[in-house]
Amino acid sequence: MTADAIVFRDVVKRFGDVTALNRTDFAVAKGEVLAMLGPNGAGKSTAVDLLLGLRKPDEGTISVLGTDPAKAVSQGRVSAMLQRGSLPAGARVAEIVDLSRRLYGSVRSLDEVLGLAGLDGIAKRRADALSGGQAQRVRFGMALAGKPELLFLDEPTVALDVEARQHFWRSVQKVAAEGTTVVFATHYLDEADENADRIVVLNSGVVVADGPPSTIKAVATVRVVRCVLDEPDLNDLQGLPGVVSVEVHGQEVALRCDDADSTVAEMYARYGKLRDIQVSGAGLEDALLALTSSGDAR
Amino acid sequence: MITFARFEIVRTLRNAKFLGFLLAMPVGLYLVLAGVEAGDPSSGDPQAVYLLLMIMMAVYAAIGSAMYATGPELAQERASGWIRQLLVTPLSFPSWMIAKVVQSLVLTLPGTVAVCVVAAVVHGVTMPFSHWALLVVAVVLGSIPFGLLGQIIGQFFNNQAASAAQLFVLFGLSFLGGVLLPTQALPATVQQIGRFTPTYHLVQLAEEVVLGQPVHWIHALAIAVSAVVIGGVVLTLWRRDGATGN
Repeated sequence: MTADAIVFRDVVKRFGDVTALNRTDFAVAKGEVLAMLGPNGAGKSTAVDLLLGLRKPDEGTISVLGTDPAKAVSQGRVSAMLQRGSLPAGARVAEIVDLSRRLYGSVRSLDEVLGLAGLDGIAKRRADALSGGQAQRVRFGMALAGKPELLFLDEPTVALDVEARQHFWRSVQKVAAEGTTVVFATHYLDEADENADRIVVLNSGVVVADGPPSTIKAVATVRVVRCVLDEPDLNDLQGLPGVVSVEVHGQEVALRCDDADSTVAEMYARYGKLRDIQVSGAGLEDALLALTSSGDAR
Repeated sequence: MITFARFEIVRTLRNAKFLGFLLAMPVGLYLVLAGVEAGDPSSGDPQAVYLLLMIMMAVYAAIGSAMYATGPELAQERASGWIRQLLVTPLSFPSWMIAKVVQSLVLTLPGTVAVCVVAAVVHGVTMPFSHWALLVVAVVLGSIPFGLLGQIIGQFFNNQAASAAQLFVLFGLSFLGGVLLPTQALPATVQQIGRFTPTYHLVQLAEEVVLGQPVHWIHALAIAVSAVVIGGVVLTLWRRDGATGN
């Protein structure tokens, strides 16, 4: 019916007074690798829960592989590596992976799954005696054990070291090359940039940006220039090259810039003496603010 | 479902501490009570006392083991996120529920058999082989509602509250149903209330089977009805809370 693997339309999800998702809206095409990027509490995990049918939305519609999320899960067309989850006592690594593999109808061999997840060396180990990174790989193995059409990874590399991280993303690319649609949540911009075809940026439950990594990255490399001016003039400041937005509090000025070098050069030329000048890399949070307030005077 | 049941059985049978715990309580309790009762001349024929105690403790072993297949263990696995991870696979909740009942049936065996063996070896309790077999079958199958009860406790309560609730329910039902003390030894009102517990009917059924008396099928029916009712509550809780419920 539809070429979209996921349609997430005007979704609202509240927990008591907190609105975790507020008219959140995005779609994912089949075969796409999508990163959901946002700070903690942005609503990423809630979105994943809803897409897996673990929770129900208060408003809006969600379709996964052309059907209801819970149905897509029960049909074995979806798999997921959730954010937290310890492994059961007494079971061995290979047994856990094999359980998942059989539940998905044994479409891959056990050896293949162990290899993909980087578990060859620890297959016989008891799962309750693993390090955090090893346990995370076992959960990755569970998610890869079928050959799902859609794979969710919620903050998948948190406990992994550099080497394990590289192996992890290579395996994800392998699975994506098989045609699997991949959706991963992360709060690392670099991880999203390197591994996704597209990035959806969530902040406070709202999609604030949606585009290819290059676009998002350009916006997110915004810098903040702060200084003190004797008589700051709002219009004048907005007219400076490279300025995205301006904040003025008395004599204190904060400029969000996508080209801080030219901004600062022009400021020296125009105002001469600048007091207390400070240029800082805007974190993701600042970049998100730049995205939401782009062009507005604030 | 079979895959999952086998996975659960293998991993629990590997857990020696857990199995030891399931065995130690009923066997220890049997030996202590047998020692106390045998030393009391008012208890009557010691062999009859051993037999009765063996039945009571076989029932206790079965229902306790069945409840501990889930109970606090389930509360912990729910809190740790394992249950969520499991339920985003194609494994459905009803399949999970049935697999856990199958696992609980297997877990009832070691304790039940151990109580019988200890009674036979230590106190020379004897009866025809068919009676032994029927006792084990009746007690194991009769533990089904208790396996489901453990699921309710594990699903409704979080971690430590689940441990407390489990003990309260296990001892409460055991006391009321005549598992810890013979029904006749209880006050009349308690006896009346006790008749509404599945434990009462399980003990009665086990006694009839062991003593070769005609079996009152009302006992089996009562156990079956309680299994259906408790199973219904498990499903209702699931529909309400889902896999997240904490």
